[in-house]
Amino acid sequence: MSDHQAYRDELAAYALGALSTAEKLDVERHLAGCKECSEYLHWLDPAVDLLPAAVEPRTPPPGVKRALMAEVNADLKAERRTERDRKRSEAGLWGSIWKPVTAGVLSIVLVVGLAVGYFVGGSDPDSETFQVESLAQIGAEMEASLEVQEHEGTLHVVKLPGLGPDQDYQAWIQRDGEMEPSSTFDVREDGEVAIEGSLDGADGVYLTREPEGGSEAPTEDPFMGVELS
Amino acid sequence: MVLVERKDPAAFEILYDRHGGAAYSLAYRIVGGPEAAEDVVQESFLSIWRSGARFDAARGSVRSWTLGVVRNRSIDALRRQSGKAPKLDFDDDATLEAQPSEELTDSEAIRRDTARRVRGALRELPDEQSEVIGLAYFGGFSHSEIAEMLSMPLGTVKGRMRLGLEKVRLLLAEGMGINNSSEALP
Repeated sequence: MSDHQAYRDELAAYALGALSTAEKLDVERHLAGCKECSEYLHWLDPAVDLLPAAVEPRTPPPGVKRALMAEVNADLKAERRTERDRKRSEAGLWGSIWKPVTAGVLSIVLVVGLAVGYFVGGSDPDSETFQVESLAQIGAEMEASLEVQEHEGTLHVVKLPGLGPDQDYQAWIQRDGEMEPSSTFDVREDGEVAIEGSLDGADGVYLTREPEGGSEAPTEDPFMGVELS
Repeated sequence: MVLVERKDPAAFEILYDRHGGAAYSLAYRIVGGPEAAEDVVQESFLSIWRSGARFDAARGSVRSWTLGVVRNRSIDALRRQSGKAPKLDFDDDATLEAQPSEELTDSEAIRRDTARRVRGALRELPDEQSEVIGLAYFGGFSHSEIAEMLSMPLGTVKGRMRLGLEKVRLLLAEGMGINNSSEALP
């Protein structure tokens, strides 16, 4: 029996994943220098690759995909936040402004007030509060205001309707005619959220509903907004 | 897979839509229950997403690679459980045939046909060969564990694995026209 013939039993066990780690490494060392055994293993592969086809087909519950995609979107959201924080840190700006809003806890925020510069007034003499105007009716009795202090904004919202698991609210800062992505947040009850990014020179702040994790550009017309300039 | 590697969620969703069913079926078969199978499928696909997908097209199809990841995770899950014996029969035709064919898409129909052929090939094997293949692939047992379990020499177990796989390979080549430079044993 040739050396290759002796290895064929090992290769079948290798293809089935039935070798110990040491045996597997020994086979892989042999394969690296043996074309004949590599060809045999390559020939054998379809028999193993098709074994899963022999099992009874079952349909995974829809919740598996939902949970999986939620994790994927959470990963992307975290990566975006990390990248934004990094850029902000590099620029020496806004590093301390962003307060991530945990989905489910808060309530939120937003403000937007197309009520151009509608000054409401605040308890802090250095802050201004703008009433946010509803631009599209997505919920009854929703209200929002934007408090601005030293170019930092905090959105206060009341009765903003809750969104499905695949959506977040997102704030946008309008500057020179462009919409810059800002904070994303979920809403469970009334609350407030910090607006990510400086409002210095901003023309307005707007709110949209976006796919979970937020978007780089608005995917719908704002439903609330406020002009600041 | 290039798009998945670039962290494109739409591409990843397509990957799941195409292979999630087979992944869940395989995991269910190995771990033996729906909840554990759901966990395995989620862990497997997340590892693919988070690892940046170390898929090598030269070493096989996306489906084979994905199911390889699922199989390894399933075996790990099985080993975490105590005293779980794998189900070894391949007789699932009754379940398959009960499903209305008009609801199948072309690709599903091809997969069902493939499944029938694979099960047919496995049924052609002597019991002692299909047993060691099932214990190794679906049970995650090493050849030495199988030898101890079945009280037989290690060489016999390995020989049965080889003879069984070669026979399945030849039967599949006959029935499915697998083109791999030569259908004969190299």
